[in-house]
Amino acid sequence: MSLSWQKIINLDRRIIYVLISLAVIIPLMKPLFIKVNITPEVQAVYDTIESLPPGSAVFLALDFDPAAKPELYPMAEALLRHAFRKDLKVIGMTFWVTGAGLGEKVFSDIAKECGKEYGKDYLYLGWKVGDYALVIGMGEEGISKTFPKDHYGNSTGDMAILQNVATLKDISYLIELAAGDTIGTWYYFGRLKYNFKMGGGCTGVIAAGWYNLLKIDWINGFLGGLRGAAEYETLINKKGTATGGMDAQSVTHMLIITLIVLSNIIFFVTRRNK
Amino acid sequence: MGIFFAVQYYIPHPVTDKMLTDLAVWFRIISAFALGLGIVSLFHVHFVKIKRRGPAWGFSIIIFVSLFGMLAAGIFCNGIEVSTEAGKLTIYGWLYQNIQVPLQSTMFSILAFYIASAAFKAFRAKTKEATLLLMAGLVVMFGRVPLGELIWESIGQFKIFGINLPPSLGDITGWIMKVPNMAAQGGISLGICLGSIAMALKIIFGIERSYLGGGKQ
Amino acid sequence: MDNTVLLGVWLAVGLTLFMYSFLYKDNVFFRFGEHVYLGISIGYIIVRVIFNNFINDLYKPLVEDRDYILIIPALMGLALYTRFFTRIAWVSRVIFAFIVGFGAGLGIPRTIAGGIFKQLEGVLMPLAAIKDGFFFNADGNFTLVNINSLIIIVGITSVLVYFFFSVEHKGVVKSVSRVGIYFVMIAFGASFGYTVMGRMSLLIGRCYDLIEFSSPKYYYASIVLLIMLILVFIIYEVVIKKGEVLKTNE
Repeated sequence: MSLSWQKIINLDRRIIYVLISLAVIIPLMKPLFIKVNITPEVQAVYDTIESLPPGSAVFLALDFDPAAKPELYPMAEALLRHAFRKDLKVIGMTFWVTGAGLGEKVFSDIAKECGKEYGKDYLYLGWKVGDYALVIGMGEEGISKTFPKDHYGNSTGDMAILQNVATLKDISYLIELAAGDTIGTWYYFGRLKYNFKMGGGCTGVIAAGWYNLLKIDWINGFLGGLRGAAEYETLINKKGTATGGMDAQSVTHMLIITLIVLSNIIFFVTRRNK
Repeated sequence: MGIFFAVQYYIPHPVTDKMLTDLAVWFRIISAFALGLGIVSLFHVHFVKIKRRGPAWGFSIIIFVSLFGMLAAGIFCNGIEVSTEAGKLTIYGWLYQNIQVPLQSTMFSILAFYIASAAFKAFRAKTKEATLLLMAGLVVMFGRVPLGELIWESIGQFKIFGINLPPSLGDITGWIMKVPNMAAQGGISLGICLGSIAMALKIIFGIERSYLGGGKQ
Repeated sequence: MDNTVLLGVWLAVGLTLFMYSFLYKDNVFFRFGEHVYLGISIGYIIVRVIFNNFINDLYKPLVEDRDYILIIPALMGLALYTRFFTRIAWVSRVIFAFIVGFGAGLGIPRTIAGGIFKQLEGVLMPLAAIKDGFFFNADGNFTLVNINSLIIIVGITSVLVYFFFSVEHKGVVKSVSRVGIYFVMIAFGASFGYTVMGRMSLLIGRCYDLIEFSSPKYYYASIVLLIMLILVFIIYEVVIKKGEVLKTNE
């Protein structure tokens, strides 16, 4: 008996890989769109954007690269859609060099969909080496001095959007979409000095740590992982890849829970038999 | 330098503010050069590998071919990924969107298989601590997906002394995240803050020099 | 559909499948994809640094605005490369000391104000706000807020004690640090749950694309390339490897 239990535990890992693949592919092909409940931290980000008067400036820090694309890209899409619907001015940039192209794509795609004009309604600064030195520059010297050229190589100095939003002091809300620890840079060198509101979104891997940032008032809300993105899509009433992926997320979680419970049952049974 | 800018925070003055802003520009320029250091090291490692016909040296050639290909494309396109007039990807943007993005995304998505396999083969409630970890993990995994919430809701709720029981799954996972998880994360981050200040002071006073490299020199 | 788009899709799908082939076993396709990724990434970074930093931050201000003071950081940047020459490697250390010292100096006051003080404020403020009964709010309804605040204080304190290695963990310290371990374990469990969610999301994202690219619009790119890759593996395992075994037996 215990030998057959052992057989299950020593299962070829590739069988588990196949099970995981099926748990992802089948729900993606036949989604059920189970209702996603809204958590207070996501609602807080939505409410903040909702409360901003038209023309207010929102800064979208897209601090991620393709490795975190499935989680943070849908967040960027949903947040941009919401901001554009509210006629907010959006300025974006990234600290992650290999994410520069993703930022460009999300801005241009959503702006096109919402009929927004580049340089007037939104601006994408792209990437540059500098980390906190960029935040200091944008806060003190000004955004156009720190980024004299945008991601496309256009001069930023004479852009309409920067006439009313010269420095970080003029920002109403900064949203940090992070795959790493860049939020510290925005907080220590930005919010701490210029006192703009901050919210954000992060990958599932770092989400547990972000609850502490809520408590100490670094941020007023955040979107955690694909679930957070799906909640935001629900709030703005526009289903996207995050909502579509939540069924697959549900099934894979249930599969992993089953695997863990099964392996622990086997562990206790074999230990008792010994 | 370190002491000056630590004090500058508490005594802001237009002159020191200007210094900070100017040095931030300097820092950006020096950092750009610093980034090249890593690239030079990588060049060196793979160049030597090819020269000595080391193990799998053919793959080092692939690195150089793709690297110089991307570099040439980028310089040819003046670093522009999308031509603003046509709204189309340049060759540089095309290579980024169709090679860099899928490769990097896929590389990290492979971890999904490993985490599932590792959870099955190694995640055991062997001790009290491990049981606590496992239970918290299971509750969060179950409670943070719509299917879990749907199953929980199907149990239904009843009232005892004006309190709804069982609480909603969102409330249970929310409590784990916002109370015990947050307490531990708070303790850890407080420790990190204290540690980073101690490290910064050690750097400023020359006690910590490992960042300079060069072993025990 | 534009041919470049179609070509891009087939290329992206092919490379994605190359990477996933590693799940079967380490193989030449995976290694190829891995090295292409490394080369392409570095190429991308170099181009961005050249155009965004060197041209916009250095070349243009120097040449167009005649901001000659920028020669100093440029020389300092170049001096970093002296580390490759043993005799003058000390120059690069001076520059590193400048960069790290600048960062450390900026970091200290901000970490105190935004990290330590904020953290303590976050813990103590809810307790200071207790005006009504501990278990019941102003409306007389049962509330967990104060109990939770108390748990958080106990948690943070015990976790700090657990990580405080300057005193021996025995007696009261040991008991408190044990409580700390329990809090840490719950936090790690919660992190694990979220990590699973994160990793699965990445896989879902890739599969989303693969499913989309398996449609007739893209000429069944995912399906065709998957079948081709499987065939290559079968041919390798059955024909070539079997042949090699036979040869060695002979």
